[in-house]
Amino acid sequence: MIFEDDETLQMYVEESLEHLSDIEDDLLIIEDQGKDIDEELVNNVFRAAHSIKGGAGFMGLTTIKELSHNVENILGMIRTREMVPESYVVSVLLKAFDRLKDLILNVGTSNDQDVSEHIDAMVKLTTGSLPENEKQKVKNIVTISHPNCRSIITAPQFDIDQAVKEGKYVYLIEYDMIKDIQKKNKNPIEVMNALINSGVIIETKIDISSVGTLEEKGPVKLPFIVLFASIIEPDMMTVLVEIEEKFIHSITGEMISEVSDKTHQIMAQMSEAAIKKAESDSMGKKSAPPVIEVEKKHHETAPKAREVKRAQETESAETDKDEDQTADSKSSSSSAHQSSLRVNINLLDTLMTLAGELVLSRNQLLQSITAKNERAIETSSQRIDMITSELQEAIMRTRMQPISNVFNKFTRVVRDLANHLHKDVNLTMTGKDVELDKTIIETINDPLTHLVRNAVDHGIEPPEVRIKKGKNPTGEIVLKAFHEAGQVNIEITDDGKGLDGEELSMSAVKKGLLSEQQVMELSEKEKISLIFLPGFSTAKEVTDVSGRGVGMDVVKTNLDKLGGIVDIDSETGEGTTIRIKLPLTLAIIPSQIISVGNERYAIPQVNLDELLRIPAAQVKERIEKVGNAEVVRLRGTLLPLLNLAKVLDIEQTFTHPETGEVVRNRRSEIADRRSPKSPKFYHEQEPLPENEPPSEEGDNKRNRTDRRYHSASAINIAVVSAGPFKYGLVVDKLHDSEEIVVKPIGRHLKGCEGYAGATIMGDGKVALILDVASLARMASLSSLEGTDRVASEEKKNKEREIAQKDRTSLLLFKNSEKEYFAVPLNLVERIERIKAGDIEVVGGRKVVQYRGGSLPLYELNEVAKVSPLPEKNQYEVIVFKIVGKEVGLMVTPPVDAVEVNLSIDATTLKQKGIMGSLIVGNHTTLMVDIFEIIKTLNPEWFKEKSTDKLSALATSKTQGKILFAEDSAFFRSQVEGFLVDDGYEVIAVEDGREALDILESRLDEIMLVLTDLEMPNLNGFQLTKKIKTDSKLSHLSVIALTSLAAEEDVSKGKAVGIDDYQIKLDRERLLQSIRHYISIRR
Amino acid sequence: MKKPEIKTKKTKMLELATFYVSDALCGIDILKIQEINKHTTVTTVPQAADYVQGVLNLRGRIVTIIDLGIKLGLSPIKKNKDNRNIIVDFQDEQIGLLVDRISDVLVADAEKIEPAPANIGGMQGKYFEGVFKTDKSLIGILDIEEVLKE
Repeated sequence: MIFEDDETLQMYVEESLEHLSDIEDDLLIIEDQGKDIDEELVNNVFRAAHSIKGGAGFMGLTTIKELSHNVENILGMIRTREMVPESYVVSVLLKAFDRLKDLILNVGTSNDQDVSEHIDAMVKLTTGSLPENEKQKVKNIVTISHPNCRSIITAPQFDIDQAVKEGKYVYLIEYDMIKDIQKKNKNPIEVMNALINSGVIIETKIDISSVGTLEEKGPVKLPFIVLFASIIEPDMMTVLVEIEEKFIHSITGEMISEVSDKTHQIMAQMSEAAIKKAESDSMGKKSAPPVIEVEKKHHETAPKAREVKRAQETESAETDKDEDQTADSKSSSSSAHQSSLRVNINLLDTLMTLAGELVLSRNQLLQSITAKNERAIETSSQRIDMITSELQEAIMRTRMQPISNVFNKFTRVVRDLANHLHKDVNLTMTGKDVELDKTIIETINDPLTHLVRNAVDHGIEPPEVRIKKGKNPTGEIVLKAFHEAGQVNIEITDDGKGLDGEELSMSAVKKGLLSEQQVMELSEKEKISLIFLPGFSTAKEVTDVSGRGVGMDVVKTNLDKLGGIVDIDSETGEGTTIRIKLPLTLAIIPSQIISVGNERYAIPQVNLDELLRIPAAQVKERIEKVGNAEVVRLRGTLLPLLNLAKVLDIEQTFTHPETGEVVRNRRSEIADRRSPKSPKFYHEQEPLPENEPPSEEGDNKRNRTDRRYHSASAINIAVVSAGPFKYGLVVDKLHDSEEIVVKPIGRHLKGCEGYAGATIMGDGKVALILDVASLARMASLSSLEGTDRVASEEKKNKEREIAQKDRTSLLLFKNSEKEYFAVPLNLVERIERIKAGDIEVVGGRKVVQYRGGSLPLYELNEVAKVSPLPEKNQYEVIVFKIVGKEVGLMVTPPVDAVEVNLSIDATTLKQKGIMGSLIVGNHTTLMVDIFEIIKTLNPEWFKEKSTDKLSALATSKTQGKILFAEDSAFFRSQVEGFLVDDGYEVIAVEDGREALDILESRLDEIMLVLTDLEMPNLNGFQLTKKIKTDSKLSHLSVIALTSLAAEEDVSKGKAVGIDDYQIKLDRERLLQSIRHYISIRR
Repeated sequence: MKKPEIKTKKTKMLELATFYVSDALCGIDILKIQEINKHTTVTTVPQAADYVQGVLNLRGRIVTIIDLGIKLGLSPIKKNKDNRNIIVDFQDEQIGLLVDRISDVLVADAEKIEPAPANIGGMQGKYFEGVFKTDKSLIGILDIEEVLKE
């Protein structure tokens, strides 16, 4: 019989779930504490189990009652220290609680569920740690009757004994459901709770048999019998239960009799069978005949417990599968949407107040509208505005829940999984109190669980492997949640084996997801992101833990649905970090409003990287066609472009700059330009002047060349990212950024891809929200295809660049008005502007007081044969640091930095102080050799070092030479020059391959390797890798020479073992570094 | 079992809201209509089926507007000031039916409703529950379920 009162049942379910929510953590702590139990904690769990049992008995939920009863037994024994909460005990309890939760969530069908497996396991535990005669009592069901009471009740003898052992009185309480509960306007659950607070309910029964028939006289009764154990003394009981004394019966030994009637035993059969099994498993001894005893027993538990443990282990192997299943059903049920939510009363009060305010303001507004009082209207609209924002925020807060709701269960997930896989894993969680919208919390549960499971299963290696790799045998998984830029970030980091991009891409090829050609063009990061491709699973063997046919692609789709972003970073052998960015709430999202044609669209801010406006004048240079795809150059990379109007098939428009008229845009390609020469321009623009009002004909009228650069011809691009893939969305107009409320769109529009919903704009019109990922898909610009084209183009570019020597940043300046000069930018400390009057001439030298010291100033024509610097009021001074001293070079502005391909002609225009010449922007530009200039002017600065140099010279002569690999002839001769100058012997080669050849044949001579990074045949990284992995060569230090020390290169270089980075023309530091590494060598 | 059913049918009087789609007079059981309005600020939805005129904001809800002319296989509804959106509630979603103009509400005897022929003035019969003849005209009673099925 299930209690029919829905409301009461619902209350019971909610309360029970609440009890269950903290149990897991408590149990895990109890496990950790082992023998030194924290009684309060055990009591907590015990009480929870007990309340569940109490309620279940009342509601007629027999299965739940039985299960919770058994759990309670074990907890009781832990509490009385009869049992040590060892890992296997806690495992059984955890599983039982999981099942319990499951049952409670599906309370309607709970009575039909089979829980014998859990009960068996628990009975085995309880009996295992009991002495012989007590064990019998567990299975023994006794009948309790009282002379003054019509009803009898059956209960396990063990429970009664246990209660008596704890010094409690046992009562038989006879409630009348009608008189004592219903008529007194009490809630059955409250009654139960009152009892539970002061004692233990052993058994409950609704005695239908004793309900009087209609013919019988007297009031109708529905007796509800409770067998209750409490430390409360008999004379106090009436006060507690608030019923007449004659219905409370104290139970003594003689009122308990053994069950004679076989039918009474049916309910106990299940546990009986379990005991028998446990007995045969653990000891196989014959049980003593049932004895009715009420006395304290002292016994040793430890040896028995051990025996049970053994039995338990074999058992646990069998139940592993079930464990996973229950864990699964648990996760699925816990992700089921809750239908009710607890809200802080204060928050509710705030909402109420705000609602009141809103009503008042509305009244005011209505009044002032009727009175046509404009000022008042304004005031009240302002008030409504404020209240609305506050209301919005408050309502949002009711939906916010801490992420710990999801995080907390991972302790358990990780523990179970690690045990199962025999791994040692330590889980650290931070930012548990970060709050997220309820719906998001519910939806991220599954993806996060999957990621955490993955980290344990695929990430963390078994301890023996970890030890071999020199890692701590205990793996670390860090779960981190934090706020950043209005989003919630979740990071899952493990220090496991990491992902191998090569392996992933090979597997992708094998599965036919990609062609080999495509794979070749992927960057390392893109290779790792392959894991998100549908139909991809990394484990070579599908394990029953993570390989459930649910791949990372599902994780990604789930997160995409939430408007979240997943990003994955991994280093082979070092670990993996997965970053998830989530919006705080789904209901209101900040968005960029754009328009195409006559309609506005919203792009969620999460997807938006930046807004780009390409002025009309630059359109031609920056937008290119690769194959039939348009791309834009953005800071050195190529970004695929997507024309929103084309994808959605909308007529594109642009607002005419002069008339403000909206005209159809006829450019079929973005790169098409409305140039006066283009026939399109005439079509489009020529008729327009006729429409203009005559007043504009005069001075306002622009000439044609102006028009071509008019802002209206500029192209607006929203750079958006869908996962790791980025593209530019070409739109007609960029509007403001707004907070929009997401509304679902109707069923008839479900078929349209490209929209994530709709929203209502300030003017009441509807705007569609764009889904950038599906837009890309629609334009078949999906990640791989898109990057495919761009990657191949980038590769070509790179090749071209390598062929063109290295790109270097140069600082351009002039000396006299017509002579152009350059120095490598990385030699420059800074640029200053000084007044001519501040220059002092001291000892035949120009200096300027500067930061408390004097900065020596030089002019180029002091050394090189160039025109002198024109006299001016102020000079630009480029400050260098040479041999530890700052020096200034006076130049003529403009001083400008450019990035160029260094193809220096080192012969034609070479002279003292000038390295050579190159062409920069149509000017022949001279490269200044600042070292030579300073050396010529201050030879004594360099002399101090001569002693050092002599020793270095001696070393190099006795110990070997520097091997220098560099493909550019200019740099080769430059660097070789100053190395020889400094007293080293140098073997210069053109690429890595040659360098390796030299290393093979003349290894003994080589003391140090100096290498360029970008070289044909074998580049600097590959060369270093070869050197560092070859035991014969690995002792050599490698110094890399770069023209641009990009952060990415540095980390890449560090990974292969490059010892130091130096800038090619920074002679000073390079020599220092060489000295340093040679001295280490010595 | 059959008898009471017929009985209820006999006594049942339908109130029909009638309207014109092109020149065809159609009707919908008035109880299925939530409201009739004349919002014109419809946002077009590129990529949507041709009969979807767009979406509009109905007191905070996004309502899809269906051009009944196209849906029924006639010419698109011509824009004029008599155009109305008939908002119906269909499987928990409000959907607007764009019609040329609204006509009278009339009471029809359910018994007199005849099954729809395969073709009613160029419109497919499957979209109609039946036809109702008055003295002057023939009214096709729309089967909302069929019309709004995706």
